[in-house]
Amino acid sequence: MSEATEILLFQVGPRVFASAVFDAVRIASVRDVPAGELVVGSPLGMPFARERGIVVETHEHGEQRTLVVDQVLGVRQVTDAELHPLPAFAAACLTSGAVSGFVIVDEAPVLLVDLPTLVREHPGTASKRAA
Amino acid sequence: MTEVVRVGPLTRLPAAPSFLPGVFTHRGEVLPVLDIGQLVGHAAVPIRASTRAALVHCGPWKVAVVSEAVEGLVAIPRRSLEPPPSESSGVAEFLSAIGRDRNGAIAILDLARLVETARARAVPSGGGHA
Repeated sequence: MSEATEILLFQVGPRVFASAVFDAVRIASVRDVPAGELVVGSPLGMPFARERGIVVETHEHGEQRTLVVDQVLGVRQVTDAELHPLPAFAAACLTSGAVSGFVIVDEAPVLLVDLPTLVREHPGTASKRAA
Repeated sequence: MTEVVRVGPLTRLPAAPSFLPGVFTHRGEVLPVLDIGQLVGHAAVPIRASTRAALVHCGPWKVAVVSEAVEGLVAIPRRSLEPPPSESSGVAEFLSAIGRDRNGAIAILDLARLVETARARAVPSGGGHA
């Protein structure tokens, strides 16, 4: 029997992405986060609105950064059979390590994003905060 | 080349080179799409419901080479193949031979070179996340 994994679905601009639930420390209102800790622009695209954020632990000196998204769509359980690694050719052509694979949602591949890697690679306007 | 398939809805990859417009699922497998036109500086192949792709295995890579149309299969005797033109720009860079049938010349791609060149151009330093 396949193991179940929980993923977080979120939207940036017109596109939907997924991440491991445990990568998200919490969902926050962007208004509650200092501007210097926000990651607004990333390879995922530019959000239409700047209201919701996913707080992520960077695993660097206890820092947290907040990826600004348009919507957090919810948590979904998926089986291992629905998780796919990034195809080797695509992995070899990408310069970012933030795309870890795909999860099949409603028969379409949704990008699985490694949030800590994404916010480390694209700090945006974030400034360092003491641990 | 293993088969020609219909290209399903594309999922775009963030910060990917233009010749890698995305991935799609085929029989439960996630396949990367390679657009040769973009690789050689031509216009992108439009992705429509009618768009087809040839699935190609090149060493460790499996890619779907997207095309505007698939016209059929022709048999060309190996002994009749001619060497490609000596130009080293555009698509000529990726030809392995020129064949002929009753409709005229057919450019034959060196798919292994094409796929490897695409990968090398995407990550010139030899990096990547394979």
